[in-house]
Amino acid sequence: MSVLLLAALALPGGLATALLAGNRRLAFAVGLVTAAGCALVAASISPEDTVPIAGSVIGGSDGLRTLTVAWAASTFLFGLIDALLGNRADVLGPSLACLGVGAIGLAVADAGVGFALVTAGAIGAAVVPSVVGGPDDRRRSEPGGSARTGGAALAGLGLTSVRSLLASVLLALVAVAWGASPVGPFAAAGPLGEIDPALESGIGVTLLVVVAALVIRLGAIPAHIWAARFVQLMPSSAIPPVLGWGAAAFALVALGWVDVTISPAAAPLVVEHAIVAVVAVASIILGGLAALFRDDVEHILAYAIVQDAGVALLAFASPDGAAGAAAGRDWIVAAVAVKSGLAAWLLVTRSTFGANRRSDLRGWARGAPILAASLVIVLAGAVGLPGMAVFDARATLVGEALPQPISALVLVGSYAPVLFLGRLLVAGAGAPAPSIRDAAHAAIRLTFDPGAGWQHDRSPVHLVRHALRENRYPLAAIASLLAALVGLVLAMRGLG
Amino acid sequence: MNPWLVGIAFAVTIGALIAVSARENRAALVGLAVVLGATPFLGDPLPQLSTLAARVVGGVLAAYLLRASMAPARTGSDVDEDPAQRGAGIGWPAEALLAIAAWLVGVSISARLEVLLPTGPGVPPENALALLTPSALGTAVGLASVVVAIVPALVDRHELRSVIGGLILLNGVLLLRGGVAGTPGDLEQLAGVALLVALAVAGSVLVSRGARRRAVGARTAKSDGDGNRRVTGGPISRAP
Repeated sequence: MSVLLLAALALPGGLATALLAGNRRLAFAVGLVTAAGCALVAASISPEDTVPIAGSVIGGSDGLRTLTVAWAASTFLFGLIDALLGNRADVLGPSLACLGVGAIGLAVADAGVGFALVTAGAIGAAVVPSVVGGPDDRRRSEPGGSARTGGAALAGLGLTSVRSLLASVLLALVAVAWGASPVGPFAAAGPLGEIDPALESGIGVTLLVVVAALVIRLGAIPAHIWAARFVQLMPSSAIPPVLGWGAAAFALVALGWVDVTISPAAAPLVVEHAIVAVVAVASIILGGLAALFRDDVEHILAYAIVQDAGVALLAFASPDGAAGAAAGRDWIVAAVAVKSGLAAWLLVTRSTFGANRRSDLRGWARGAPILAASLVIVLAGAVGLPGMAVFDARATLVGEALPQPISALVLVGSYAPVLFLGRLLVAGAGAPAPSIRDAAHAAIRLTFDPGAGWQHDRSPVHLVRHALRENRYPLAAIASLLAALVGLVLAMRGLG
Repeated sequence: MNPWLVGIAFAVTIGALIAVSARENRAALVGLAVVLGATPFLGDPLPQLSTLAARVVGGVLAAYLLRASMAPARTGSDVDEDPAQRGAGIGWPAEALLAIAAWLVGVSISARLEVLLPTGPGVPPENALALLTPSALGTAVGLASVVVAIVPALVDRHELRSVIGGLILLNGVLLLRGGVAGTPGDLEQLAGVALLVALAVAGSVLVSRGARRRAVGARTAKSDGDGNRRVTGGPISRAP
């Protein structure tokens, strides 16, 4: 019942927030209360919690609880950051709706339902922010994004995003249809589980179809263009619902389906696994290199996501399906949470300093120590330490799917975040650039003067509001720190 | 063979053809409404009444959302605004032939699949009309929808035509899924409705935004032209 309650809270709350977007304060109030409520309800999800509905069963699990709590917390924190930074409230509503339908999609065992619902949520979250808020609004709200946006580019991006999401779900639905058909693995396998050659070919093609859907959905190479443009042009708070949590939900549904349909068939699928591994390695290596050679933080985030997608794809190239699926689940959830923390850092840093290039961000960490702590935590979560779930998952995925010595090289390549995030930290510790020196609002300011007495314009309420207004950038930095902590926790424990 | 189902299948196919190949936006929307409104009835047995109603309402809502996103002045009469982006590039006769071919392939696939079913007859029926089972009709209509809609859905630069194509394509894949793998459960049918409506909501936002952008562009171009005429006393002067 708690999953249904979560959806019953998130969907109307998200819709109300989206409809109230013109009234910024009210929209944020409704949205933030809804997001906080969703986090509380999500915390009550348990494996015993099952509800039969419309001929199917919606059931909770420990993993679903972990995922939805982190998803709701991330939605709340991004909404809070947007509210503090004076951004529009266009993203929060679709994000909540995406959470609501995504939770149901993950709670149902039927992959067809799961693919359809998680994509339905993502489509709304992908389009509405790109077209409701025009470039002028974003120019006011995100200083760093002013020169990069345009109405035609945003509209084109909206159409491209919808097409990408649509293509991925259509491929996935075709694969699900094959799985349930009379020529699928359940109906066509022999009584002793022997594999007919035609069935093996069918299983192999279907695996490639599902992986193609994932490549498009996650933005892995060669379907990375739309994801990179999405990260570059969209409000940063729209990234987690589309390329973060929404994409993770899609990948989890795919993993579950492959685990049930393809893995038990005991087909060797050597060629198909090799093809998937090549795509995954290309995403890991080229994504890492692209993140290294780009100077602007949006592209660094975009290609970090591409690299994470590559590691996630290795779960589909693993000959040991069960081990690959378990490690894949841990990796997907941890990577998404960590990159959400990076997106929060990006949003606050860009708004605080009005710069998005590493060269223009010299000395940023000196002016904003909270943001520096946030990026350090993101780096720790992205790299992982021995004993952390993300560390073990990456090693398992690379080791299971790739032969030596390629696996060792790819494993080294997958640690590229040390370099591209480390460079940002090193730049932040250097001598401040002029724009950083001028950003006095980045520091916490305490303007309370006890000697001034209780005058009519210095009431406690006035002082609190004044202090909040004066310190909105540091407060947003604290919210980004919390988002990074959510990522670190999931990087440590995985899906659970 | 159920003649009612065959009639509905033809209606859905013709609706899909109109939706992707009509020159007028209004006609394309009518075709879309026919497709989305009639598809829920293309099954035997029909789903539960509540599910059926939800699918019909969802389909009509999806078509209406697109209709509502277009201002009255921009529906129907804007054919010559951007003629290169209107209707199917290869013309409706070619689209119709593609749909017929897809029908034949779909019925053939379905016949083969039914032979393979554990509860199936084991051999294909000799009577051609007996091939038109509910699942064969679903497969045929789904495949025809996919074939005629895939290009506008994924390639067309015009928002409205692309979204209409996307809805037809998605509806076709859902039909194909039911035809190939049997009638989906109620929850899966409702999830399909949610996906259709989400796509329509996103599409209506895109269409509305695109129309506004084009209107602003046209106004800007007009004002620039007027300004140039005032300055030069004639058409826009161009540098050699």
